[in-house]
Amino acid sequence: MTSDLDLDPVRRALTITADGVRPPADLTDRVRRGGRRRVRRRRAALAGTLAVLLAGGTAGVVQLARPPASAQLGGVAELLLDQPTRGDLADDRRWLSTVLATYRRTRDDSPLRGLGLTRRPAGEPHVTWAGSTPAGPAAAVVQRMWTDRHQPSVFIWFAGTDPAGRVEPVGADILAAPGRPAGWGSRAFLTGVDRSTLVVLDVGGDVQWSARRTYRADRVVRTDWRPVTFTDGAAVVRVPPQRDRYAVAVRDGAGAYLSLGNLTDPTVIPDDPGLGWRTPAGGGWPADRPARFPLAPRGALSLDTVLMFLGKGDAGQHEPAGGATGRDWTAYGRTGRGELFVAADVRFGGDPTRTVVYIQPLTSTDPRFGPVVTVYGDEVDRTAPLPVAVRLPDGRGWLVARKDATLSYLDHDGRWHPAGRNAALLPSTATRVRVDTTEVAL
Amino acid sequence: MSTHDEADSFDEFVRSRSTALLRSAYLLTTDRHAAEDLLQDVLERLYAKWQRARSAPDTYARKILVNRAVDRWRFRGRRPETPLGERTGTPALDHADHVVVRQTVLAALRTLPPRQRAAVVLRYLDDLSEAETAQIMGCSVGAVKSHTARGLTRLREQAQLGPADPPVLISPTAEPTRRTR
Repeated sequence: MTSDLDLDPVRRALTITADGVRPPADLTDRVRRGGRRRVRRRRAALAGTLAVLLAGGTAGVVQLARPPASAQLGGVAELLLDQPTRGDLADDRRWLSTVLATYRRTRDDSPLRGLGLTRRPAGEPHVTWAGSTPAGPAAAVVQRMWTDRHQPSVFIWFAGTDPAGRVEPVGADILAAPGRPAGWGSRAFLTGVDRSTLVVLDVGGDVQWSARRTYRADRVVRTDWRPVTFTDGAAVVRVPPQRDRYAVAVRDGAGAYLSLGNLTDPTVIPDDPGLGWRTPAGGGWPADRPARFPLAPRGALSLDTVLMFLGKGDAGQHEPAGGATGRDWTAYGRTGRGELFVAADVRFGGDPTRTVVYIQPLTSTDPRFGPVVTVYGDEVDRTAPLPVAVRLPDGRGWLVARKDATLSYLDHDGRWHPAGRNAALLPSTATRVRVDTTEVAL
Repeated sequence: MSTHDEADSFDEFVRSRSTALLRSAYLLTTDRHAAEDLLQDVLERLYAKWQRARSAPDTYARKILVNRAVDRWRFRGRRPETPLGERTGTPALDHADHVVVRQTVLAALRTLPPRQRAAVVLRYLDDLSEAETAQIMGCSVGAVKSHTARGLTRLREQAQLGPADPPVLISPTAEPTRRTR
């Protein structure tokens, strides 16, 4: 047995050895950025699993590209479970009864069941809100569940009214139980034939909504945030139709995006296939993979670095693009100055696909947390001879791409130069591009 | 509890505890840069589960720290770790003898299997009880005693940290100090 007295030399030696070690000054900022990225990645992975359950992927992916929720919802579940039914239809027994009957009949249709989070009810369902909306009566139902891992969770189910006046399930989600955060925690949903009515449940705190994104050359922002007004348990807002182009967003008072419960909407928005460059063609998501176009010179550029860069746009300064970046194709290499760049398809919600280029300035020393220059291109047109043509800032040239095409460019001296296949970074002096045999002006 | 409160409490935890955690990470990895990477990894993971961890953040953090350090050791395929060379931190600010102690202790720690190393660091740098150490390492108190005893024996042998006075290496006038200068 070792006595404490005997251990003093060890303690002192260990203390001396570790003494003088100090964390970097920016540790807190770095950790918060990395932590947020980790949360988003985890949610995206969970969403990816859900996407498989959602009809082979294509229909569901657009929903999953929504900004993931960042807010912590620990007490929300308990609040929605415990409070009496709110809303102007709270006393309409017939409506409540119809809602609960539909809930019991369709609850297990939710793809969330496949995640093992909602298979064992741990209590009776409770209509937490029932109210009138411009799109007809709507409701939200919550029910305690045990997950397959014996952890408590709360299932939340949203319903509206279909054109025939019947209760229509429009989505579902998992609310985190206190101390056991899991799921996306939706407390808002879209209802109506064209999903043009937004309902946000009142759980305390301010909420704002936005109708559309604004694309700028270096960022994607929202400039039309406006507050919602809660009345009797919820806010009901008319929004532009979301059935074909999912663009609305909701955030809390701290600026964290809130999920919309239509993640499991049985009538999901049709997916935009983008340029359809995944390979092998027709392999079907997720069996196929994004096309990769490595461009010379690459230097010591690994695929890991490329993939890491695709997450940099989610650093919190811009609207997050979720898991939609680089889903179709990626080109990467170095600019004429030696800067690492990664180009890829990017899609925000149900908006059309665009191109994004991330450039790591030479002054950046930290591949994970250093600054990055972001450039957004226009919407891509898969039928165009050259669907990707993005001018990079400060004379860095043009990023052009078309899968399987032989590229060449015309310089300002009137001479054609070969530029390889699939994708190329052309000098800023290039004026035209030949895509196989078709010429395109830049 | 609002999101702001949670963010503030996490920031406060990082500010108040990161130095201690980094020191533990340093002894677990024996490499300054690896320790910083490890700490950042640990705190990012802690951030992701802060709502659950905030009731006992230090325990959570140390648990992740030890597990990740052991994983790292496995990932490296049990290869010998790199000597510190110039990467020991700020030797110019240290007493020369402390530099020698540091190099010797780090070299000795590198010879310890990861769980023995973790037990020694948790018990004698972090000053945790055997029960607390067992909780963090996810093993029994008996296992902690075993890891600690074996780790100490090996550490003493390697770093000449004898149980009897005088403690050779931490004496500024001790011979081993001069020998390695």
